[in-house]
Amino acid sequence: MNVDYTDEQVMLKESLDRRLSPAAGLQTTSQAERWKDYAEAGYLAIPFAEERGGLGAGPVETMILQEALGKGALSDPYLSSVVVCGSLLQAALADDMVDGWIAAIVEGTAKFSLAQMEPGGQYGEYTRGTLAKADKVNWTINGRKLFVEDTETANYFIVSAANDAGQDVLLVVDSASEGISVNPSTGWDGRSVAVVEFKDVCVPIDNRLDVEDVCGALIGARDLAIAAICAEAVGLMSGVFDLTVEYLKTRRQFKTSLSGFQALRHKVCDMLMALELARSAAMAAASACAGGEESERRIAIARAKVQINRSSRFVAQAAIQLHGGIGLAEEYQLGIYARRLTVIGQIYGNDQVHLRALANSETNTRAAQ
Amino acid sequence: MDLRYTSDEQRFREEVRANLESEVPRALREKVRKGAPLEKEDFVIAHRILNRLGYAVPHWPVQWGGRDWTPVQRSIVAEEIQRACVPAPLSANVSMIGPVLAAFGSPAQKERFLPRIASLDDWWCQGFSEPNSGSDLASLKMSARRTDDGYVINGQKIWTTYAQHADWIFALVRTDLQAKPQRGISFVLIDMRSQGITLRPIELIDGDCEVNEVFFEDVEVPLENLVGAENHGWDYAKYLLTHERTGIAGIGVAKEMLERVKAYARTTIHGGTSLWSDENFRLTVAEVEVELSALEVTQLRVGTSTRGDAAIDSAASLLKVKGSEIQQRATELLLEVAGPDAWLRPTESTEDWQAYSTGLYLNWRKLSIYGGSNEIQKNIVAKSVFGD
Repeated sequence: MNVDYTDEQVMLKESLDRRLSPAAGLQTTSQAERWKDYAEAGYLAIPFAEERGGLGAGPVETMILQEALGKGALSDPYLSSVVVCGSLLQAALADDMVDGWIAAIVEGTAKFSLAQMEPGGQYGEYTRGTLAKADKVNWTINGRKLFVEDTETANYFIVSAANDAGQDVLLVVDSASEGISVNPSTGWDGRSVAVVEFKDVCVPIDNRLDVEDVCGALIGARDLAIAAICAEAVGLMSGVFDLTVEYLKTRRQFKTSLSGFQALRHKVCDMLMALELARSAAMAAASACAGGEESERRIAIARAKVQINRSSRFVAQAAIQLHGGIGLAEEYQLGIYARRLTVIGQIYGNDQVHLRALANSETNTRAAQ
Repeated sequence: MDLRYTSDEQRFREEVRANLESEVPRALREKVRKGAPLEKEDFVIAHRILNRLGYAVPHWPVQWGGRDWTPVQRSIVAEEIQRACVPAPLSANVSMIGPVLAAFGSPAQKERFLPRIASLDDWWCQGFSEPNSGSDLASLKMSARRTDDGYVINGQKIWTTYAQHADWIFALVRTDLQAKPQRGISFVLIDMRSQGITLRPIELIDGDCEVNEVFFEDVEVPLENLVGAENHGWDYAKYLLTHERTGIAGIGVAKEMLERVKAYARTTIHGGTSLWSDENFRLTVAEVEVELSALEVTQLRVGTSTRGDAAIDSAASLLKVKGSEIQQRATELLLEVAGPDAWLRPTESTEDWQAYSTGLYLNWRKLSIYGGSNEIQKNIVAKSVFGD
């Protein structure tokens, strides 16, 4: 058992902190510029096997990167493309097409997004509303997908559907295909989130990802996504914490700086505890995704998301409170962080979803015997 | 970074667990599990068994009985002792005076005292707090007037845990009235059998007399019982208060209590079904476990990191804060399961756990107060965060 980063992980963290810190002023660069930079730095290659052009790293390195993105309040589509779709592509039997898609992600020339959620499945329930009929040449897809992320920049969708025999399939679909209509909305966190309709969308028969257990692969990808978003939240909270401490030190009232008042100092300590508990939970989630039993991973993921949800709410609330009026002003930098933290608490499972899973897990029921 | 325990570590844990179960009498562990008050003999038996097993002072320098274990192994031992409901090694001995003497004591003091501290041949208590000096410990007034042979001590200590069992007391005394409060304090070792010492037990609201007032009237202390340099006692006290961090969050204690809560909930019937079959109750327990598992990893980060992380070090005090809150929450859950049977005060013949649960709950209110209250811990962390 080792709580410390390896030397390589420390180097990755230092490289990321330099490139992505709020001080680096990346908020003014374009996402396209940043993505090229990530490709050059090898960040897009992190979770892919070395034989496939990747760095052969895993959820811990993803956690380090996601935390850096969060701290810089950056909304780049790393999670949708590299983490989620990367995981599904790696789960598929390797062939030239899959290798080509992975290479495109690694080189930064293509972005992917998963279209899986459907009406009735917003809380993570598995539904099979989208249908894909196969003939000798093509798949024809019909269905409606919700909460598809980063559609503005996605070159491909990975679409989950049921075939004629009622089996689950995963299909790679060019986002420019005829019959796709994307209806994007803007999230409170500034991200693009879309309803995507598929009407008789045709893709070549070879675009099916050869994955033995589609449901299992989707659960695995979702767990990785949750671990990654937990890490992003830790970065956001860390950024918020630093902002708050700096504000309290510099803001003067009653002829003294606010940092001298005990009530405020204690609230900052409460924020620090919430942040460090969240960090520990994110570490546990990443570590569990990196290896170990599936049942333990599911528990670690559920616990992590609940902890992150609670810590995120508390830290964002406390930060706004400690800033006073300016904490609510859009012009001040806190808003971006607070809104993304709020959204994270709602997506990929709110408290109720995961607490219920924990309360009813088999391990839990066995433990009481 | 990999939070899974290696198979060597798993084997070590199993070995520790098996040793504790086979070597520590079951009746004693049951007493602890129930929350019944312990006699002096109970503590001594447990401590000596732990010392024999090498589990009492693993964190000490090896030459004085410490073990060449990794921080992870020490963390495992601390947790297993808590989970097995074995009384912990006497903390005043192994976590306070022991490390202070190992670090600052004279060779003669180390030779004379350390082995007897480890074996609990000498029972030590801590003379720090006074009636007017609790959180503001540096304001303490117990005086030590310098004589040819040593000091004459006058004053009073309060909240002295298990002074009634103690052979020795280590005390902070004022040796310089002119200096700034922290600069005029010395650290002395006093034989509890000295002429002039009287004890008054303090009954706590759980019915037990865990703590005492200790009165010193012209008590003579030889010079050889001064630890380190005169007027440097505050430094040694600070060292003592921050030194031993493994186990301070009470992870093992909280885990054991939650396991008990679940087991009792299975057999507690409300309206025809068990409390455990109520999803609401399971959700409530799951909430506590979420925070406990995050705290457990935080404890491991603080206690076992070899790289060291300045940020988490400053938050180590918060481990004690959050750990106390979770342990206290666990006693609330225990009370909840106990229901109306928790109304009854246990008598000598009481077997059922419910009657003891109220006493446990009341007694554990001390966790957020002693060892530096939670409010003081936050003051300490805030100083570090704001750099002031």
